Amino acid sequence: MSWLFGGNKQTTKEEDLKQTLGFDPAQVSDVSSIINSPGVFDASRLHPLAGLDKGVEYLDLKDEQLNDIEGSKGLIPSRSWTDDLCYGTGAVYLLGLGLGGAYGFQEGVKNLPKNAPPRLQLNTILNHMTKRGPFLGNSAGVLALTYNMIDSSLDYFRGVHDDFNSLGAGAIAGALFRSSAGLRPMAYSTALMTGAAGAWCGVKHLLK
Amino acid sequence: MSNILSVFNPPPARPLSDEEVGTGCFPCTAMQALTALAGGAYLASGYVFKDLDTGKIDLKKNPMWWQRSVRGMGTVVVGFGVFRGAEAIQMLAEGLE
Amino acid sequence: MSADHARDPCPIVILNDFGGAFAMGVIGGCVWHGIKGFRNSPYGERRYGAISAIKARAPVLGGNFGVWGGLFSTFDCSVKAVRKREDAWNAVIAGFFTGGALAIRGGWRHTRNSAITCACLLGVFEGVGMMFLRAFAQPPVQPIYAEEGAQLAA
Repeated sequence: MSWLFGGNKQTTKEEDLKQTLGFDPAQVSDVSSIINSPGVFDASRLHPLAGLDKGVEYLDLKDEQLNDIEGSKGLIPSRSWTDDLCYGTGAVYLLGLGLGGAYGFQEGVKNLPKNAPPRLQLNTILNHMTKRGPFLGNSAGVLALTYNMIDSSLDYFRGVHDDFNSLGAGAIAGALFRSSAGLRPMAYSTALMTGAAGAWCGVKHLLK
Repeated sequence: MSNILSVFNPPPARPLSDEEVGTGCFPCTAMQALTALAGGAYLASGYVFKDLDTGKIDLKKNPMWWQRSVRGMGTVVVGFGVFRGAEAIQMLAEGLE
Repeated sequence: MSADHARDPCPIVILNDFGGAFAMGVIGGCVWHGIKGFRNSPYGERRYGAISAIKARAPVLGGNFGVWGGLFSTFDCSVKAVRKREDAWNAVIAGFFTGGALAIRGGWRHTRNSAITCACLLGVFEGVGMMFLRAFAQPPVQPIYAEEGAQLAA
């Protein structure tokens, strides 16, 4: 979506310039810079179609950059904080949906109408599942979204990705999530989210 | 890059290799089998036609030919899911040996 | 797992799209329902109205966005796997199926209309994206062969 956000337009232009001119204009500024620049005597780089042998060029423009903050190699392939955000939120939402669905199933089985036709019983269970599942999924998704956003901000400000960030982000996200319900629910949700963040860090350490 | 972003910033048209499509990878096949089974069962069950409040099927909104075609499609998708599931189990068995 | 793929393989990219669409829906819902709740509340309760509207509606909007995104991505992957090609038609076909699948509870007329609308919308998005891409991809310096030719002739 570089046309919307003005992403890596500059790179594409330079690439295009290189292809129309047959060489990189940045390299001809100075004799010493020509001689000193690595690979300038490589015939394949001087060829008019230089760069095309690498394959389709958008593959290696921006996406190759990995998340370069220290200690950020995680479970899921991640190139940036947006990847963390999307994968984290998606996974937690689906987890919440599944858990909520299971809880709704159990609740529906408990509240089955007696002596009803099986069709109606199935309907009861499905109704309970569709009531609980999306609700829990939405809440979990919002929590994960807040957590990931705060976590990435902390990473950015502190310059390092460690467990303290995760714990802090969990605490802040939990506090924010129930901040309108009063002090006691806020404390509960803060403790719960900090615990969840700690558990997630533990799992990450175990699997690494 | 995600599929949604590539709508707004379309990559040049090109044929995909088998590796990119994901043929022959176990998670792909297993996920496909599960998705096909669940989605197909949802379509074939006829639950889609029922009104959520009354539980009745409105024949004006859902004519018989429409119901039959949707159910038929669901059955086909379930069959496809069974096929892919068998393939996934086969892959798993080959991997264990 | 190392992150050596320039592009994520198909089954897992669905998770990415789902999460991204959910995030977009929640953030957009916060802005949208915040403003709406603020305006629809009486004076003195406007902040409270905005917050309660956000709390009630933004996650639901996010969920709807997420389901759309996840479904679209699933269909996009399927279409890619069947056609073994990556081009503008993939998104249009996937949009057709997504629109149809989401509207299937509303009867066949609703399903048909929604599928066609969704496909057309995605076609327009693709077209606009391609247009912008083409506009930006033009070389900034035009070749000057014509002027050289003119000088030679003179």
